[in-house]
Amino acid sequence: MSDFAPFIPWIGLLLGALCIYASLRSGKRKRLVDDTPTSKTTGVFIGLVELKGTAEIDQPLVSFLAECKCVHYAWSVEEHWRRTVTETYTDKDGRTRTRTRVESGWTTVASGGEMIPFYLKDDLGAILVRPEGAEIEAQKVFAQTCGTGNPLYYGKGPAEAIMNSTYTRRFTETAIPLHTPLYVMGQSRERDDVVAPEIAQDNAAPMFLISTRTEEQVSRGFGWAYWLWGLFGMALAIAGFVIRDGEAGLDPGTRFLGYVLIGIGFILAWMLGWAWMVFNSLVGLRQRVRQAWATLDVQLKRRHDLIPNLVEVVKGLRDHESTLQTELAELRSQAAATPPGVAGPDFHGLAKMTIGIAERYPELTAQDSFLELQRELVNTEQRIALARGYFNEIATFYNTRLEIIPDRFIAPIARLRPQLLLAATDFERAPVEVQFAE
Amino acid sequence: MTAFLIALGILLGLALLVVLWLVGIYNGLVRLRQAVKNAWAQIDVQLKRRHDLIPNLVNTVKGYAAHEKDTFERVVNARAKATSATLPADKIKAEGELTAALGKLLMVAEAYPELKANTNFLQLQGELTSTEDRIALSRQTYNDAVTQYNTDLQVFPNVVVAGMMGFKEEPLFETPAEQREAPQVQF
Repeated sequence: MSDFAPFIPWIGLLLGALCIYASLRSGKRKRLVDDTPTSKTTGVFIGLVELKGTAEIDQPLVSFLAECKCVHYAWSVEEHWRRTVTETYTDKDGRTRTRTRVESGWTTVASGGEMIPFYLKDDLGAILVRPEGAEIEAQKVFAQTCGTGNPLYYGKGPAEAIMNSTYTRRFTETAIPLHTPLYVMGQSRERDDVVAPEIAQDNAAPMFLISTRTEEQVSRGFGWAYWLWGLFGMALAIAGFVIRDGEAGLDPGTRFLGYVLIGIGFILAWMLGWAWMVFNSLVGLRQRVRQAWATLDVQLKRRHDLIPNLVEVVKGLRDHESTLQTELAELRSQAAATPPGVAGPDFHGLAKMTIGIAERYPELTAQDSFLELQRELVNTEQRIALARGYFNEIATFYNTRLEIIPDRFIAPIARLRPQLLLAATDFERAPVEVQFAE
Repeated sequence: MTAFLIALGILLGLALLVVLWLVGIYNGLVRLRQAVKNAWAQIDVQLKRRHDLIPNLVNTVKGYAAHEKDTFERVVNARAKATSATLPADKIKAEGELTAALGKLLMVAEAYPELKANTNFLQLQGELTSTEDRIALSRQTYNDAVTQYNTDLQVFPNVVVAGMMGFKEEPLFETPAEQREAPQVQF
């Protein structure tokens, strides 16, 4: 035992370093959640996006235990066991003795689950989410402990019992039920089947989380993990030295100052790591602000390329229709001009054909085209507005980071400058007058 | 002597680890830079698709519209001719023309009930929109590739390796100033 003692502090320090890593990773994820504006499903761009909405799908899964409609579920059955063990040990006087001890626990005897791609729906639209590979924080939908008397026991659990079974089983299930509000943070990419984005797993993405908790709860969870891992790491780092001293027969109380120094050293290492994490996080945030600006440019370019062409198409149809309608009107009048039994040119047999054709061409067919153009104009401006809104939000988060303590001490190292927000020019602020008269 | 050898071994081991680590960063940057180039080429794929597809679609729609208009005109003309004809021989000839023209129009309308010109125009509108959507998505994919690469370039310690190996930031997609204004819709 004592041969091993000199290494204990090293193990403590190593575990402490791992805790620093876990702490900073949580801190980084908290910053990512806090610094990413929530996108609308119709405003999703290719990249890391944060979304809020409800889980929807036409043909949902039915969960195994709770039998609720859902898009994801995971269930497990555990069986209780208890056994009496006899062990031999050597007592203080060097005599070999035996004693009995009761051990008990739970063993998982069956488990399963399923997930399907689903739509995340918000007030503007819906987007496909492929949950494979995501960290899923689901709701508990079923928890029941029962004995063999319950039909559940054999109905949904295996027929065989385990060794030393007490014939008590615990059934638990978590799920994402249909229509549950979700918080999603993940990478979007282009869909293969239709021209639209989807949220899916991406190894390069810093995060893919689907949670039934709210954004605030998720952020707070990462905040707690950040502090707790830090404190736990410090405790481990110090504990290594305390144990070694104990093994060496030294009174840990006399070496209190040494432990304080180790604690301070740990905090310094953690702060160094913190500065590193914040530097990288701020640099990443600046790049995402630039990405938001470029997304806006993409939408503006789309408008510039699309709208004039759509207008030309509608114009073309309008001109075509007006010629056609004139001719149709003439056809109609000609058909009506020769009622049966009236003197004049007799086109009796053709009247039916003429009417047939006229009916197949209802009037004002260009209307659909105009409506479609209006819809696309609205849709285009909506996309641009969402891109502008997103840019302003992420730029605000970024500017805030540059000012708050302690981030503002790191910002100069990365030479970060605040970002100007987008604003409407003066003439755009005035109310728009709708005028039809030329 | 042995202590010296052990120390040397540890030092060499550490140096090897550092070298491997630097190589890892370098390779990561190279991969991301290639991804940027690939994403840029994907935009070109979509632009090429637009260039090849849209003029042909427009011509098809134009062709159908012309055909439709032509058929109608023929019916109306034949009808007018038949009405104005006075001699029985002219009348029979005119009626024959009219029946043929009407039959042809009815055939067109019946054979392609969904292919009337307005449907064609609507489809063209839809295809124009989805083509621009595709281009917009591929541009966003490019932007995201650039974002990942530029971020990876600027974080510590990659920024040191990137500086030594001459990696440069890639530009994001940019729209020229005059194209950022809203186009005027005028009929």
